[in-house]
Order: sequence, then structure tokens, then C-alpha cells
Amino acid sequence: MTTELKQKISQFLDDDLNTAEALHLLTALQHDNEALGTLHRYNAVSQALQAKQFTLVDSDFASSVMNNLADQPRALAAKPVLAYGRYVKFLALAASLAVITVLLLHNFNQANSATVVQVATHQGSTEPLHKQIDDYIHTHPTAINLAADVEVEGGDNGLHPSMTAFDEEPMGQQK
Amino acid sequence: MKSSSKIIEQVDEQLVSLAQQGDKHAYNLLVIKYQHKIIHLVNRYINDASEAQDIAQDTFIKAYRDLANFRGDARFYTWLYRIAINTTKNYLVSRYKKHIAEAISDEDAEIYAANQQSQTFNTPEQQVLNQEILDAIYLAIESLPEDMRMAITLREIEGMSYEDIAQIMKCPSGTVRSRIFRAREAIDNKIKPLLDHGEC
Repeated sequence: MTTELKQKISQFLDDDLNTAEALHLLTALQHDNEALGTLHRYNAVSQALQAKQFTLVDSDFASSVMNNLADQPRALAAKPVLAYGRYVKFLALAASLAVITVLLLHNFNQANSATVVQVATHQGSTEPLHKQIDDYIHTHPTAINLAADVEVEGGDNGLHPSMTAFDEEPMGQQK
Repeated sequence: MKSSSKIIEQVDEQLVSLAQQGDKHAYNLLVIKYQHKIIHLVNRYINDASEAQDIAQDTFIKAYRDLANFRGDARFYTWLYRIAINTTKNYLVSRYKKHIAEAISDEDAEIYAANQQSQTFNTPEQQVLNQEILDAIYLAIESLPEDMRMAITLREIEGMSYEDIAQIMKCPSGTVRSRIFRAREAIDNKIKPLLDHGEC
């Protein structure tokens, strides 16, 4: 066993190793009985100076614990189930919220569509109205005085002619 | 020392997390790390090294079975400590020592342990060997150079950190680290022959 390894064991005893060094040493101790023996003796001396009783741990203590554990079922079979249960609850809640949101959006969209349809229907009724007016003009030519000059908006294209129509005869011409 | 308690927690967190996923190798490292503390803790109540190791073994097995319930609210060693105390209490009850077991609780465990120091269940041979080894340790410390003796005494008996010792001894903490290691090596060389001859 190297002096460096012994020094690491001494530092480990005093919590002077960083996380990586401590894990590395512990792993090395698993397969090095001589080093493990050194750890046991250093520890026993340390305890003896504090408690005035020297107790040396059996060199195979850890391995006999692990031999007993070999027959044990995996320690945490229950934990993933608990975690899974919580996860399922969370998913169920999230799914419920998603369904409620979709339903609300759907209702909102339906309400908007109804408004559009109503407006469209109302706008659609203007065509027959024009037709009614045209029909009325043709059937009652005397009832309407067309202005002598037709004001045309929008320049020469004549897309929006405006006309002035009078339902009543001019003042003073009443029969 | 570089915030040692935080490093201990980081090491434990990593190992516990892996062990909770079923990694027995990681749990083995936790056993190696805490076996001494748990055995010494139990031995303070039982005063029998052999039985203390059996109870410590039960403690680690119970802890493994219950590892799913460890949420990390407390430090791993604190959690393990409680399991060890309960296992020891159960052992004492099973040995018809209820009057002793009732005296142990998490709060007064330390006081109880201090009162039990004088009581021993070790065999006379074990007691003699124990005393021989203690004498060898003290003799080894006395024969150390002054700087090493001071460093190991401040660390092991006073429980000081490397930084505190460095301040007292007016030297870098790296020097303290080295002196403590060399002191441990010197003591180890003295007690090893005794351990090879007898069992303690």
C-alpha cells in the first residue's frame, strides 16, 4: 500500500477530502483489504483516544453486511410506485385543465361564429334591398326626380355613383 | 479544512441517491464509511465488541430496507444513528434488560453512554488486551516528536480542525495534515504487532 493512499485514509478520517476524492477512496477500499485494515486501525486508535476503549472492527464487517443484503429485495421498489402515483395525479389534473380550456375556447369560438353569421345575413339582405329599389324605380318612374347631374365619387371609374332621390314632389308643386 | 460538513453531505447525498435506485455497491460504500461510528456508538451501550458488531450489522440491514423512506430532511448519519439506537434498545429489551433500555432515548443517549463507560461485559482476556493496546497507544504518542504529538492530540482528543491547529501551531494547514498522518503511522506501527498476536 502506498504512503499516498495511507495519507488519503488519514485525511478521510478528518473529513479533509473533497467529494470526488472521498468517493474514489471509498471505492478503492472496497477491493483493498490492506487499506481497509489501515482505515479500521486508524479509526480504532481515534476512538480509543476519545473513549479509552479500543474496538477494532472486523475486516469483513462490510462484506458480511452486503452478503446479508444479497438476499434482500431491492430496497426501494416502493418508491418509484409512490412517485408514479403522484405523477399520474399530476397528469390527471393537467388533462382535466386542458379539457376545460378546450371546451371554453370552443364555446367562445361558437359565440363569435354566430355573430359573424348574423352580420353576414344582415349584409346579405342588402342585395334584395337594392333589387327592390331598382324595381321600385322602374315601376314608379314619375315618383323620382333624378338629379340632372350625377355626382360621381371615386374619379372616373364610376364605381360609386351617388344619387339623390326624392320621395316627395318639390314644394309648391303639390297637386 | 474545506467546509467538511458540506463535503460529507455531498458524498452521502450521492451515495444515498444511488442506493435508493437499487445500487448496492453505493450502499456498500456507505457501510464502509459509517461502520466505525455505528459500531462504536452501539458498543457504548452494549460494551461487548462482538455483540456490538452484530447489532451494527442489523442496523445497516434495517437502514437498507427502510432507505425508501429516507427523504433527506436530516443528514444520513443522523437517520442511521436513530436506527442504531432503536436497534440497540430492542436488543437490550430482548435480553431482559428493560430497565436499561428504558433509560435510552435519543435525547439522553449521550448521558446514558457516559454512565455506562465503567460497565463492561468483555472477557478478562479482552480487557487485558484492551488495556495493553491503550498503553501502547499512549506510549507511542509520548515518544512522538513534540510537533507531531501536539498535532495528533489537538486533533484526536480536542477534536480541532486542521485550520485551528495550524493557527495554534503557527504553521500551514498542509503541515498539520502531514504531521497528523505521520503520527498515526507511528502509532499504527506500535499497535500492529499486538493486534497480530491477539484479537480485540
